Amino acid sequence: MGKVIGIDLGTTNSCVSVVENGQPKVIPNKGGYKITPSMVAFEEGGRRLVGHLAKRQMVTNPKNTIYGTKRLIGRKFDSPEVKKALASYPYQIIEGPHYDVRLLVQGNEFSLPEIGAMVLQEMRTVAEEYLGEPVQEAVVTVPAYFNDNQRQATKDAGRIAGLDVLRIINEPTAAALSYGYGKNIDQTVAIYDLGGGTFDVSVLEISEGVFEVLSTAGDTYLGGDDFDDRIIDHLAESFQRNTGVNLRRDKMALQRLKDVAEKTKMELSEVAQSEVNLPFVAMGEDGPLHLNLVVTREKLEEITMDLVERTLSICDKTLEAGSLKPEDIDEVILVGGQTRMPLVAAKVEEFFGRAPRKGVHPDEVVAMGASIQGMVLAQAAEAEEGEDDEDRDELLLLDVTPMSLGIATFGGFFTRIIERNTTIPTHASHIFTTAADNQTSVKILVLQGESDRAAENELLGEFMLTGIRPAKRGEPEIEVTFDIDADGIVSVSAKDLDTGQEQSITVTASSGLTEQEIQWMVDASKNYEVELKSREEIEKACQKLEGMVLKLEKELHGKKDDLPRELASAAKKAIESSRRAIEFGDMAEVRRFTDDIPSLIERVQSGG
Amino acid sequence: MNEAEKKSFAPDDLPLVCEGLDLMSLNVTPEEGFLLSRLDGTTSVGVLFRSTGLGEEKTATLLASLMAKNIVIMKGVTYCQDRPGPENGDGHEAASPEAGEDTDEFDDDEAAGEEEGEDNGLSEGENSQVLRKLKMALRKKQLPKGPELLAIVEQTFVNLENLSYYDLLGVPVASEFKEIKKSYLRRTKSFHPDRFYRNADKQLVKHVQEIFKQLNKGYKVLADAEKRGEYDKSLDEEEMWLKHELADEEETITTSRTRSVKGDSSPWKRIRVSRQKPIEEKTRKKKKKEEKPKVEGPKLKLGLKDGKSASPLLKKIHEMKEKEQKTYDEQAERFYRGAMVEKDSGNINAARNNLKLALQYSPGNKKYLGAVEELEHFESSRRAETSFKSGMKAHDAGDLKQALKDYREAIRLGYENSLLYNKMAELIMELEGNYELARSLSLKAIEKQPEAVDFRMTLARAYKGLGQKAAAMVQFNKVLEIQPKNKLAIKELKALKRG
Repeated sequence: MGKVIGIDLGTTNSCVSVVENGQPKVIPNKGGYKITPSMVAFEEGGRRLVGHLAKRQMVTNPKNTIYGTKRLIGRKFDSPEVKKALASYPYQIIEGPHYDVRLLVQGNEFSLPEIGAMVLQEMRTVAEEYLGEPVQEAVVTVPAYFNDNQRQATKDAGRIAGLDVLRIINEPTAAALSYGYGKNIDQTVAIYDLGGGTFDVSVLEISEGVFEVLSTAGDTYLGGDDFDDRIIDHLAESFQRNTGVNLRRDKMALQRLKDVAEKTKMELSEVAQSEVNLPFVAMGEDGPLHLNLVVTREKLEEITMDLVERTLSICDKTLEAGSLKPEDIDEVILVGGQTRMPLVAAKVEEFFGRAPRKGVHPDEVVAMGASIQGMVLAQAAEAEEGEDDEDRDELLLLDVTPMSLGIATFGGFFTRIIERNTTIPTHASHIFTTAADNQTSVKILVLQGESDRAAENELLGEFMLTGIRPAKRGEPEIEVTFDIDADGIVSVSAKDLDTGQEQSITVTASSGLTEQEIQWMVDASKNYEVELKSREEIEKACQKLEGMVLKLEKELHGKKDDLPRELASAAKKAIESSRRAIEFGDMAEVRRFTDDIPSLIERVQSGG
Repeated sequence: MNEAEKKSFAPDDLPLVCEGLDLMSLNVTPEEGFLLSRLDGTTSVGVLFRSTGLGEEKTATLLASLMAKNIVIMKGVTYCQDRPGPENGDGHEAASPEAGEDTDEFDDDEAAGEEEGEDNGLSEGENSQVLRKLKMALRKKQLPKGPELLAIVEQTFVNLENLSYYDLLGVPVASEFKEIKKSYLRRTKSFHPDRFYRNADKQLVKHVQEIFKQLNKGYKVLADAEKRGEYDKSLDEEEMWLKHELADEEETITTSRTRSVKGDSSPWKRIRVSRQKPIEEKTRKKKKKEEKPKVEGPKLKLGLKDGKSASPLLKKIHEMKEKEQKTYDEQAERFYRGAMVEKDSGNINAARNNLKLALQYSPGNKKYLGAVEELEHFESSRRAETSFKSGMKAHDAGDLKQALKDYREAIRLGYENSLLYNKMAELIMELEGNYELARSLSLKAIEKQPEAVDFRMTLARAYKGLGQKAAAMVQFNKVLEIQPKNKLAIKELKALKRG
């Protein structure tokens, strides 16, 4: 069995890690960067670019550059988040066949798990190149507040990328694993994770090597991108005030604004003010217009203060849910690039009454935690067999359900059966009854969420329980049982205690894709991989031949007059044909000449 | 006592290595040494048989020889029966390094052995033996690893219902929450499914998962002061039961409650289980309360046999018990009456539930048991009738196979109806050519209604099918006696005479 890698699939950046010799290590990509932008771009001709390559050409190719898909994955097309994205994202978003979200790029339709898979595949390749062996298994992280549909979609993305996702774990939990790994500590830690697209906070208790999630909460609509948006708004408004031109209407200009906003935000974490310079950003009546503006840290803090306050109110809720007070927290860990903002750190310190822990790399800590959990799962087998496992790191993660699970009941209410923050695996049941006389069937709607109104929660699945004995309403007893296994898979069963009729479903939360669609995508992804490999192969072979041809040419040039005529003409002919073969990418010819030319070179060298 | 000869062990016997031996200087064969290395005080003979890889016979021989060398002693049913002195056998404390401090538990053990020793089947006695050992194993701070853990997992899974949350967590009932929490964290390391992530035995992984769910549930209850109080109270109530039991036995006031429930077989298993569950727990707790750790079963018996010297406590218990019994009886009667009402209105299930409850309050009550039987009978005849009717429907509709199936079910349920017998007989001849069964069925039908022509026709055909011409002709003639102009019978007779 190969190594299990840990992947932090982020809204803006992704990161991959693996445990080597007991130490989690972040793997740098080809460019030497430890983080890779979660971006995919499609060039003319269908070539796919992922990561830094995609980001670099974003400004010139905004329509075909896909980013921020984590905000859309596993969501229904009519959700508010998708509506928001429709208005602000430069690429085309359409409705899929199952109320899901699809992207239309150059006439091709892509599902979100597919885009996720492209990023995951890139991370997988990064790991494979580093390890020098194929990687098949991974632990992938998601925001704590992802619902089951979003988790399933992420899992599907892994599958399409050819990865067996052993476990989906929460980002803050992963961060805690990474923090507590190898330390013999007994602490309650708070993880404040403000990433590109989401905000999560979790409180964990680390004791005896067991990581117990006490409470977790978050907001999937709140992240670093929102800070960028505030800057964009600020810049666009000032520009409109000065020139009367609305940059938001121009997708190309918006893209440039977005770039510069992110850069400004980062700069302002270091310095007190930053100059924004965008020459030729738009055309006015009197020629090109330039954007030139100074943004101060103060201004940034002013326009984003409410966002930070929102995170703190979520912290408050989280502590309350775990019956904790800020004083109970022994350590606060900041995760996510946005926590580099001084205002965030200061506010968090103020809230918890202690300075956040330094020396934890906010971008890498999550992937490292994922790889640690991967190791724990991979070692479980060995632990059963070996006797001499005493020195093995005894580490265990007790994860919880991020959201309450329950069913819709009469009057459109949501009745919780498993409360959030319940340690999994778990099961619970509740007895319900009928709402009308002589009702013989009942529809069970399985929901997830915190609202008391059924309609406001996420629908995970539904089924009918039939064959209830006709009786007065309120008489039949229907027991609904929820069961969550260690992998977080939910199954629900309903049983009529009177007749013994039973119905159950395994809630395979819908990622918006059918099984068959996923299979197609897995195949397509494999094909692309093969295509990519063979393309690389051809390029390599051509390069090799090119080198030989050059050498032959050089030799030929040096001994021009001393060679027998037929040898010289044969060499010249070979050079010519080789060049043609390279130009057309004709592999058969390329191979033939690769075999032939070395002997020609020898003959030329020896002078015939 | 010639232990070397005793080569048959009960699977639940527990071999223990005698304490104070210098293991390095023992005179043992390598094979015996190997076996010795497998004995950790919690591995039972049954587990040994399966896990040594030496086979049952060889393992038993080795065990016997180790016992003969006075290296190993056997603790368990067999041993207790053979020993004349029931308690405090000198080898005991010495031989139990892990559980040395818990001598009172040993005594419990022995008492149970005595009480139920004669029970040789897979019964209560044996179960409680296993349970006790399991509880002892669970009481260890650090559970073992590898194959021994697997054995504990399987046993725990099987006995999950019989283990209190405290048992599962391996902590005393009066533990502080801090202690419970520590133990919970340690337990998660043994029972979390992630620990078995790559285990190929999916069944095992499932069992682990179930145990862990229960562990979580328990931890959640015990973590909440209010819920814990309720739970403890439910255990306390069980303690009262236990005290009643003790009193019952000695004063021979046969309320028959606990005894009959215990001895009762399957139908009310659930009830029995819940009654039994916390007994050991309570015994232990009671001892603590009275600060007389050595007051166990036998001594109590002696005190009570004097009659006069019954302690005020026992008197009080007795009074309470009587009072309670009265309310229980009333409650039971209420449920019984409810059951009868439900039965009359056709609510079989509701009636059954009510009777169950009645029996829970007054176990073994003849009237209620009789009612249950009657109810079952009523229910099955109702179901039989339904089957018969649906069979006739299918028969009319031409779905013969379904009809036959339904008839069969009706007959299986004991539905006595001559029409059913006849129909079944016809079908079974037609579909399966089973004339023998058709004959006996139509005979039954005729027995009930001798004058029915159809039945005789069926019987005659059955005889014909069996090749008994004479008998068939007799039947056809009988048909003609009843119905002189029956054309079919005349035709058949003619055909038979010709043939």
